[in-house]
This record gives sequence, structure tokens and C-alpha cells, in this order.
Amino acid sequence: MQALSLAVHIPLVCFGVAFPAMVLYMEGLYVRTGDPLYKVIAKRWSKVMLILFAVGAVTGTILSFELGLLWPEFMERFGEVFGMAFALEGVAFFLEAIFIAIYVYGWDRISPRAHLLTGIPVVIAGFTGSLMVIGVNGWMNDPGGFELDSDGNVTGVNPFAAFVNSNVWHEWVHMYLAGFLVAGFIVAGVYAFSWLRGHRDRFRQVAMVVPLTFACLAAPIQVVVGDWAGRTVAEEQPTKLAAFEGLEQTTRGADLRLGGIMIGDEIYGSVSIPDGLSLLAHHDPNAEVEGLNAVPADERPPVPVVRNAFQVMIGIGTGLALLAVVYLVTAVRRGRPPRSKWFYIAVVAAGPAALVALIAGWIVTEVGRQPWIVYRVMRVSEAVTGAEGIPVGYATLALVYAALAVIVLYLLRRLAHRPIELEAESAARGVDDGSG
Amino acid sequence: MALAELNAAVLLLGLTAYAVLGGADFGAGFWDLTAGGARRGARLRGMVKNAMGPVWEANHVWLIFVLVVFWTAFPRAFGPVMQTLYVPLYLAGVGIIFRGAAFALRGEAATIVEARLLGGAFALASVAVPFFLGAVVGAVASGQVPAEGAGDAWESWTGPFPLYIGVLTVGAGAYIAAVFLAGDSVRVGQEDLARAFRWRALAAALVTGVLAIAGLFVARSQARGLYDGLTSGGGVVAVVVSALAGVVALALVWREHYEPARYASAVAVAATVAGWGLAQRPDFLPGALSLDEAAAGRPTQIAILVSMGIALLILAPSLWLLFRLTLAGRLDTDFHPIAAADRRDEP
Amino acid sequence: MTPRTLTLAALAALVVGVGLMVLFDTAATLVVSVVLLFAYLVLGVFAIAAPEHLGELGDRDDSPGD
Repeated sequence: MQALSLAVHIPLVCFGVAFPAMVLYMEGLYVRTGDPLYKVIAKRWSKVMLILFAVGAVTGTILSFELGLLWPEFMERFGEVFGMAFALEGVAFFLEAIFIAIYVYGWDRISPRAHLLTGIPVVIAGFTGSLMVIGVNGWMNDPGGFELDSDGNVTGVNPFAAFVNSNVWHEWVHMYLAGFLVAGFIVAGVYAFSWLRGHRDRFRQVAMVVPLTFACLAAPIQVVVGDWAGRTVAEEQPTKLAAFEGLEQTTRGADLRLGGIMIGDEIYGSVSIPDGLSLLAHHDPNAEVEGLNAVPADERPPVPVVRNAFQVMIGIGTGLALLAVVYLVTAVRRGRPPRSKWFYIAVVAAGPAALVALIAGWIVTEVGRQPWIVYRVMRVSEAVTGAEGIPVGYATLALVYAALAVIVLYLLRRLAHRPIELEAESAARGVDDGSG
Repeated sequence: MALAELNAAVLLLGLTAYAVLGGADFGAGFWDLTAGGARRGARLRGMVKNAMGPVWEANHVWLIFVLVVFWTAFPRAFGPVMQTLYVPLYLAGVGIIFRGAAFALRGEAATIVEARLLGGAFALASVAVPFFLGAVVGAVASGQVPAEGAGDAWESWTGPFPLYIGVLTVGAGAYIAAVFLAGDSVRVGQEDLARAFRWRALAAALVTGVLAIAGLFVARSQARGLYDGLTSGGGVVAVVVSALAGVVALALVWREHYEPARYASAVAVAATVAGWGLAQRPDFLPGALSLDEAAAGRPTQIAILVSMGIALLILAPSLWLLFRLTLAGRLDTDFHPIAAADRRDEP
Repeated sequence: MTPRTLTLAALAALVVGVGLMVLFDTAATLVVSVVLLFAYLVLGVFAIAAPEHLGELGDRDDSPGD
């Protein structure tokens, strides 16, 4: 059930974290050039941002309920260790809620410059808020900041040491960039789609180029950060890395097996690169890579799930990076996006693809940690609730979320179909009377 | 004062803010529900939407705040509460989804069916959520949650006292909302709406007041510990303050001074929440778990207090800015009645 | 700054940032590389989505220009 809520929440978070920066950049263009077109786009986007933020706030609330409802033992034992980070995230979220309200409701009511300023805390809050939540996840992968006494009770808690763990940094940078990829490609994809349908006016072009630029700039470095993340996992959670790659035996000079699909214990259709895994994980072709056999069978994650999800993430990530390079080279050399129809089709596809990669990446880190909820300290089965009626709750929640998704999409579509000229006019009027 | 008590105070402060601001929000939904037919209720609904727009998200983040402080500072009480009261909490959760989503999206609704559907979901959920949350508080206060974990999933909160607290929560929210909305109506120059909300505020005050007095008797038979706490020491002070503030607020509404009435009503609610805290001190789960037993370790508690202090420095000015802009009418959108067939975006 | 200078600055930040991240493995170099990569992102956006470029977009050019 938590997985379901998270799957709904994570894409919304991407918009909460990355979208404000794009909206703000757009408004910055307006303040700098005075061209009302930018303002129309920013204003429209800010409405979408508010809707998505509101729904994100709701799913976030549900998540914090669920933490208690589903994992009471986990919270009871470890709440004091990592709760701090959540408390700070609550503060960041609070700040975001306050300023997003001022920002969206403040159009044309406070001076353009002041209005632009009220958007800045939104971006900062998204930035720090994501750091805090990822801190908790990093802690679950590398638990620290507490000791266990002989009865298994938690003592000597140090909330700050718990937060500063080896995983938080790379997970956070990776997630933050993922936010830009998902939000950027999805928004750009919407406008690329209307380009394909023949709507090629300046409004839609500008609205596509800006988010696309954000996403395309983020895509190549996401690959590099991913490599950093992989190396850290190799050091801290070797079993997890072995699961990424489906590596059965501890091997010196391990091969990298790219692509393919894993069913049961076998990997089909992959390409082997000799010594590749050792080289990637430890920057040394002869390095020893720990295999799954290093831990007893009941401490291994479900390898096929993890490996397949990992390959999906890597595959899509590489594809997005290639698309990004094509775009960036053209944009730098010609000052405009490519004009090929195929490029636009690729951009349309990139949005959903980025979303799939995001979910896959999340499966990699969460399922890869199984059977532990707190790595090598507490098992999932020890943490879960014994309450009855979980299936009923699960079914209702699934229905509710499905309804929610349909409504949101439907209304966003309506918002997108509203005539542009109308808003452009009113925006132009806003300029005339000085927007006081 | 012990560390655990300071943290409990932080928790109660958050709860108070949620009860006042979130309560006003839920109450607004109550008035939306009872506003009458599509035509008759249109102006009232328009006002509700207008007043809630800019502040509702900030108001609801208080709930998240309460939850995170709860599980960080008092993890050993959080587990049992969640394991025992998962049914009402789950229902409240589903209600929150409906409510938030319906409200956020209603502004974009265009057809009659859509507006009715979203409006209905919003208004119904607005009544259900405070009711279930109130029932949770009632169950905790009347000692229905055992320290070892799972209490009875149904009986724990379907007794007279938890249900009574649920109803009281809805009533208090409706009252505060009517006071706030009357003030907001004056600000946007809708005198007839201000009068409408004034009557609603007075009626809700009467009902809630009677309920509160009756509540003392319910508490006496159902939650003896709480009753004893409320009728001795700090508890009495809180009860008296609450009653006085309630009467003052009533008089202010009667004389149409809505702005000061806002604060008086807030004090009345705050005093009630504080009274609850004082009454069951030093227990967190009455008869089962004391504050100190429920609390996290020392470093965590200090960390919470420090970070909440810093948070206050950042959040207080931000909140002040938001409310100042709101109360000064800087964030008001143009007033639109919400009728079922209304579509303001079309020329 | 013109888009051209911005582009060069972004490229420089990218090259140094990636170099630091891939070749070294200490806390200090990682922090610097992350900062540089974010700098590349910001500079890149300003370079590519510059008003000079955006002003020329679209089939129906109705931009006031500046």
C-alpha cells in the first residue's frame, strides 16, 4: 500500500521540486524583457504547479499516516532516530506551501519584482525538503547514529549522525536531477505533441524549449552521478550491487552484462563487457566484486526484479542522455531546437520514459535493500503491521488514487485547452497598468 | 520543566494551530455542505472558496507537522496509537485525499455534473475528517489505547466519549469557520454574506457551547481521569479561560466586531486543547504510558526543540506575511458565486 | 553576459565537475563537483534558453524583440 502511495507521490514530488525553477525562470524572462508572452506561460504553469502541489501535499499527508499505520514497529523503534529529518522536511514543506500560495495568488497584485522574489523560497524549500526525505532513505540503506543494546533496544541516539550517512548525498543529487528530467521532459513533451499536430506558434515553442533545456542539461550529468551512486553502493551495500547485475559468485575481474532480461536465475539476451563491472564499480579491471553468495539466501533481495528494473533505468537514462546531446549540440550551434519530426516524437516519448526510469530507479533502491527495512538491522517482516483488513484498505486506496489520477489529467487537459489569446490579452493589460 | 513536557507542549501547540486553522477550513466545508440548493447556496459557496484559496495548504501542513513531531518525540506512544486506531485514521486519510483533491480541482470544474461531484466530495469529506480525527483524540484521552500495542480496532473509538469528541470537533470547526468567513465577507464588501455567516456563527456557538457543557458530564461517566484533571489545578484554569473566551467571542460576533472575534475564538479553542494536555498530565496514554516513558531519547528531544526554534524563526515571518497579505485582501481573487452551472473562464 | 560566454562557462564547469566526480573519491572533490555540475545546469539554461534565442522561435513571429 505504501508502495502504491509512493508511486503516486514521487512523480508529483518531481514537479514540486523542479517545476518551480522552470516557472521562475520563465517569469524572470518576462521581468527582463517585458515580453508578456513569458508571463502568460509562467502564469499558466503556476496554476498547474499549484494543482500538482496540492495533490502532492495530500498524498504526502497520506504517506505520513501510512508510515504509522503500516509500519508501527518500525516507527516505534526508530522514529526517534530519523524523525528529525522528517520534521525538518515538514518545515521546508510548510515554507513551500506558504510561498506557493503567495506566488500563485499574488500575480498582478504585488510588483513583478517582489512577485519573482516570493517564488525563490519555493525553489529553495523544494531543494532542502528533498534533501531531508532522501536523508531518511539514505539512513535506511546505511543506518547510523544509534546503538543497539543486548535486548535490541535503540540507545545512544544521535539524530544528526543518522542524517549524515554515506548514501544521502548521491541519492539526493540523483533524485534532484531526476526531478528535472521527469518534470522537464513531461512538460516539453506536451508542447512537442502539439507541434507535431501543427500548432507551431511561438507560445508553444518557447514553452517547449525552456523545460527541454532544463531536462537535457540534467540528463548527461545524471549518468555521471549514477556512476558515483553505483560506486557508493558497491562499497556500502555489495549485495545490492550484486543484485543490480545478477552476479551470483564473488568474482575478480567481473564482467559487465548489459541489457537482456532476467527470468528465474538466468539472464537472456545480454551483452558482456569483460571486466566491465569491476572497472565501473571500483575503477579497477581486476577488482573483486562481491557476489550474492556472500550472504545467506534469506538475506538476498529478489534478484530478477532488481536487475530488470536496474537495466530499464540504465537503458532509458542512456537514451535520454543521447537525445539530450542531440538537442544541446543543435541548440548551441543554431540557437534553436532541431526541426526533424523524429526529434519531436522522441521528446514526446521522453516524458513517459523518464517517469518509467524514475519508478524503476526507486524499485532498484527499495527492492534492492530487501529483505531489510533498515539495512542489516531490521527486516521488513518485523516492521509490518499485524492489523487486519489491509487488503480492503489497499483496494479502496487503489480505487481512490485511480479516480484522482483521472480527474487530475482531465482537468489539466481542460486547462491546456483554454484559449491562449484571452490570457495574453489580460496579461498585456497587466503590463499597461504597471501591474500594481 | 522536563524535556518531555516541553516537547509535549510543542506537539500541543501544533495541534492547537491545526485545530484553529485546519478546523476553520473543515468548518468552511461544513457550511458549504449545508448551504442549500445550487442556486441558493451559490454566493455562500463562492465566499467559502474565496476565503480558503490562498491559505488552505498552509493550514493543512500543520497536520503533517503534528504527525512528524509525534513520531519523533514520542515514538513509543506513536506505535500503539497507530496500531489501535488505524480504522478512524485510515478513514480520515481517505477523507483528506478526497477533500484536498476536490478543493484543488473544483476551481477548474466546468460542467454541472463536475461541480456537483467535486463540491459534494469536498463538503462531505470536510465533515468526515474532523469527526474521525476528533474520535481519535477522544479515544486517546479516554484511555482506550494500551501501551503494548493493538487495542480493539472498533470498540476503542466507537464508545460514547470518542464519538462525542468527534461531533464536538466538527461543531467547533463550524463555529470558527463562520466567524472567520463573516470577517472575510466584510472585507470583500459582501454585507449580506457577512450577516448570513453571523447567524451561522451564533447558532454554531450555541450548539458547541451546549455540547461542551454536556461534555463535562460525558467525561465524568466515560473518562473519569480526564474529568478529574479538568476539574482540578491547571485544568480548571484552562476550562475557565476557554469558557470566558468563548463568551467574549460570542459577544463580539453579536456586535459585529468580527476581527477581534477571530482571535477570541482561537483562544477558546487553544484553551480547550491546553486543558486536555494539562488534565492528563503526566500521562501520554492515560493509565498506560507516561510522557517520559513515551518520549524519545534526550539527544532527539533536544534536537527537536532546537530545530523547531530555528523553524519558528523562518516560518513565523513567512506565515505572518501570508496572513497579513490575506487579511489585507491582497491575495483575494474576484468574488464569484459558485453555482453548479457557473463557468467563469468562458467569455 | 552573452550566450556564447555562458556556453563556454557551462562547458568548463561540466568538464571540471565530471572530471572531479569520476576520477577522485574524496568528500571535498565530490562537494566541489556537485556544485560545479549544478553551476553547469544553471549556466546552461541561461545560455540556451536565452531571450535572444527564444525571440526568434515560432512560425508566426510576433515578438517585439529587444
